[in-house]
Amino acid sequence: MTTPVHFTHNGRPVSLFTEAGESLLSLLRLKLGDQTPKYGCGQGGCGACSVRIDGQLRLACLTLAETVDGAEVETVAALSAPNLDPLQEAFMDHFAAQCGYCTPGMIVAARTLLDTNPRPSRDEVIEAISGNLCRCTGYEPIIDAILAVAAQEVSA
Amino acid sequence: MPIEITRTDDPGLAARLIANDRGAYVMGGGTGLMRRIHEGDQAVRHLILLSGPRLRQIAPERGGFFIGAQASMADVLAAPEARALHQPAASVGAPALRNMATVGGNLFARPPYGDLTTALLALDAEAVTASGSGEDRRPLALLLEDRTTRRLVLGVFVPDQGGARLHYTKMTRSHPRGASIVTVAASLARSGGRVTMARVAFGGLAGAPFRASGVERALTGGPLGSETIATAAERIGDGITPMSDALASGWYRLEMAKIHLRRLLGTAQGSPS
Ligand SMILES: Cc1cc2nc3c(=O)[nH]c(=O)nc-3n(C[C@H](O)[C@H](O)[C@H](O)COP(=O)(O)OP(=O)(O)OC[C@H]3O[C@@H](n4cnc5c(N)ncnc54)[C@H](O)[C@@H]3O)c2cc1C
Repeated sequence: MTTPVHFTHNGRPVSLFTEAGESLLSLLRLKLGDQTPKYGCGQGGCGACSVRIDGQLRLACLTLAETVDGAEVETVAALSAPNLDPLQEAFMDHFAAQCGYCTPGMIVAARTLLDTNPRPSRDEVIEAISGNLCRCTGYEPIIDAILAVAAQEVSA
Repeated sequence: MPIEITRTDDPGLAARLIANDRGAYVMGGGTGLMRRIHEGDQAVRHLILLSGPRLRQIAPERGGFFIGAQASMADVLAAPEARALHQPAASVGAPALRNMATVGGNLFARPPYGDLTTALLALDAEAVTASGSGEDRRPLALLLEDRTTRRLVLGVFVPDQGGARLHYTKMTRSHPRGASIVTVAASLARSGGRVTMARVAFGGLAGAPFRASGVERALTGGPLGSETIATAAERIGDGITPMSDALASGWYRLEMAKIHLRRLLGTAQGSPS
């Protein structure tokens, strides 16, 4: 059974067919070709597929594709056009990415935090990325990068 | 086998579908159901996407407040009426998960999950279920015990707590957030230095969250002294089989439950009511 869904993908209206039981992640990666949200565990445990739906942080792998009908879906690709998001710059400056697999999810989670809480404490940053696993960096460079952007955006 | 999907705003239809077909599931946030689908669980054959304003409502109702089954943990955290549930809701998953995970889904989450439900049991919450074209209420504990009838939950009703206070703690292996090794929720009322009412529930310990009546009896009637607390902790294992999984053995879970109940009630000792 296929069902049509219409939604906004990074500001662009899209319409396509979804198979019953298909996840938003599969729709984005395989049907729309947006490979920025990553397939990590497929169980909501790693956060590599984090996206925003109507501005709220969500896990694309656990989102039934049909439920985004009419919604605004945003992946990290939306943040880097035309210029890189300051978070992306800061991740490079702070060596907050090694293999890079967790980075898109980390950036979406961090951007969602800073949009609602421009001056987070270190603990609030840790809480905000607590659903995103990184197996390379040990998290410290990631936390530093997010705090650096917060300091820069608040003083700007 | 392909999955069938039904969209409806008729609770009566959803209730009939799940009552008559064990392969039919009402969808909350999908954090449990989508996981099962990804794992290839063939038991999930039919998803029911139910919508309606009451299902997401959080509002005062006579004698307490109502939380719709499809309210998310984030919705609970944003609702001042539901203040008693803020600490438990914040202990569920991480931010993205809390935006998705619903109160209704938490009632039927696979162990060791069910943290909010553990707190709801200690608050003596009632399950508001669909019955014909109307609503029915039953103690949440009864809903959780009855594994044979599949009911559509419209929401939960949390009664006013009077003088009772909820104490809550959750032990995890990973920090700041993770799955429960054991979750403890204790609601105590005290008067004249004595415990007049105790409702104590455990999650993560033995299948679905449950009320520990032996613990409650041991705590009620006397002062909240260290000896009483120690005696009560020894009653946690009565009539249960602690669960073992990749995170912890049943033996470890039970030992941790005793320690965390003692600590939690130890801090309650010093608090005003
Ligand atoms: C990475 C990860 C971390 C998690 N961490 C926690 C945690 O810390 N604590 C915790 O408690 N849980 C946790 N969970 C489990 C789960 O996310 C939550 O328990 C959540 O509340 C389940 O709600 P849902 O809406 O997503 O459920 P769904 O998957 O939509 O549904 C779960 C079950 O409930 C049934 N159901 C849903 N709504 C109704 C209704 N209205 N009437 C009748 N039946 C209904 C469904 O049919 C299904 O059987 C975690 C899950 C993941 C993937």
